[in-house]
Amino acid sequence: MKQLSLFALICLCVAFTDPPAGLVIPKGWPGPTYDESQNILSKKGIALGRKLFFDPILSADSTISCASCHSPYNSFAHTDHALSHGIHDSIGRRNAPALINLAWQQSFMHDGAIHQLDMVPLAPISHPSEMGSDMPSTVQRLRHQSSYKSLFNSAFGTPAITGERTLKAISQFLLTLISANAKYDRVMRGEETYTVQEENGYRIFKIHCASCHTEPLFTNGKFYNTGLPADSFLKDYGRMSISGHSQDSLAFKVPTLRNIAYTYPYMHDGRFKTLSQVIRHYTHGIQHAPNLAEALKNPICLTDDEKVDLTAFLKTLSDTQFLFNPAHQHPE
Amino acid sequence: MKILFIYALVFPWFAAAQKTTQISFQPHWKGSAIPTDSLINTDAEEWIQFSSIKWYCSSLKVSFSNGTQWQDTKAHRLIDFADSESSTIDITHPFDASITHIQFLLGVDSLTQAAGAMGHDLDPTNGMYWTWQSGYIHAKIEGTSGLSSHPKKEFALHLGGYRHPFNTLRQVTIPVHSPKNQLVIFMDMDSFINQCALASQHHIMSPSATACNLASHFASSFQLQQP
Repeated sequence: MKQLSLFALICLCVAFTDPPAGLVIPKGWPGPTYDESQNILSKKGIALGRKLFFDPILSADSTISCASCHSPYNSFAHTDHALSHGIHDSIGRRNAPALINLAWQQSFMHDGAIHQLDMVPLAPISHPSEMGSDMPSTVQRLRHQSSYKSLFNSAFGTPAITGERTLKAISQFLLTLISANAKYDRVMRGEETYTVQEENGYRIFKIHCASCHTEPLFTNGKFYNTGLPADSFLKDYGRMSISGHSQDSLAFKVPTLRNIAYTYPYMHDGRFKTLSQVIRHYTHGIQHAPNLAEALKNPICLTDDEKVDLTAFLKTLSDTQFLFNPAHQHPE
Repeated sequence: MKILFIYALVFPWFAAAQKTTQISFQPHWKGSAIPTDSLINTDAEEWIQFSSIKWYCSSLKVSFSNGTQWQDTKAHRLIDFADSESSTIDITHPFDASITHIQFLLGVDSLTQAAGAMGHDLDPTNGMYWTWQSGYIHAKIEGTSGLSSHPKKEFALHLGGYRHPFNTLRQVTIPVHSPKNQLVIFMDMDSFINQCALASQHHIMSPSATACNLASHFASSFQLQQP
């Protein structure tokens, strides 16, 4: 009987060594797009993904990590640089987007080139101006790093280090980056109230911005030409390069506005340094095109006070609990 | 009575008797198997050397004369001409059933394309996944040739795309009229390369109408080697 109890206790300990972690869905949010059943989240899986995210071993010369362009303090975007830069000080073509609430995204990158979260790291790992490596080489480097064997073993049950597991581990960490506790959220939950300025800003937001920056994710995930003139140097036509359709010319994915105060500079190429420049674009700077977003075909007229109020509201989307969460920072 | 008794003992064994047919895929050039990374020198201008011929064989099915079918338990196979093990498949089937058709998809189906990271033959480390735009490369044919207008005579044909209007997934059906224990399905690379116009387009790296055409040509190049 004693032996049976001991055996049962051992089984329980083994069963709970790495229990499934599971996504925590904020109240009132839609169901996630990511199919968790294909990549069961676990504490060990998330820990491995976090280590990989911050490890420059992913890059050809071991100098650039995911965190090099996606800083936790900037909602996993990249401030001070309009365009991402990579190994050998090479400059990329796009501004690093914020990596938050990815479980709800239906496509990734500014042009929606990647359709599934697991596959996203392949792009920066392979890009010559970012990590300058390739997946087979990256996996080889991981296999030669003694610490990773045990981490992969803990996360996946066997020590095999494969491309699939590397990508899924990174996904597990990325999926935990859920930002849903800004002042906006606390107001929606009835825990706080807006100031008069913020309330007015929210009213203006709902009239002029919410059709694309839809609550609660503050993006509808679609692609629009928002009247940004093409950059003559970058010649980046956005979604059209993926779809091949002329109606997608200069169309880029609606970014989330969550933590927007921390993710400057703005737009796909970081052309705007401040929120006031962004708002000015929408009130004065739209370049008309046949495929201009329907919502922008009529001028947006805001007084200076309304612009200030709108900015005040946008700042209520800052989730400092997320931004300074130790679980999102470098693991060492 | 004795004969009936022996027959009753032996008949179930015969009925359950299985045999193995081996199917192998080989790229050929003018009737001969293409060696890995070796020059095929047709003449001074039309020399060619293949450094890579890799493609996905999915949903492989074999139909038999008795109306039954064998389905590959491996949903997606990456066949690499440099890896003979990947190019050979053993099919165990009833002794009295002969193969009538071999059918497979050349590429990866759209449901799998839309799914997340996968392992083994679908692992992205196999070099058959577009890193900059989601999607598997259905077939990758690379090398050098006197026919290519590339400065280094290179060519790289990455035939992929799973979304309309540039879906390069193709179904291939091979009728088998004279079944044998070993069946060789060869890809007639000579006729495929003739369709490629390497002088005007030596690199294909994205879904396009050209990729669709070449995928159809590549699918048509699969033939059963006659005895």
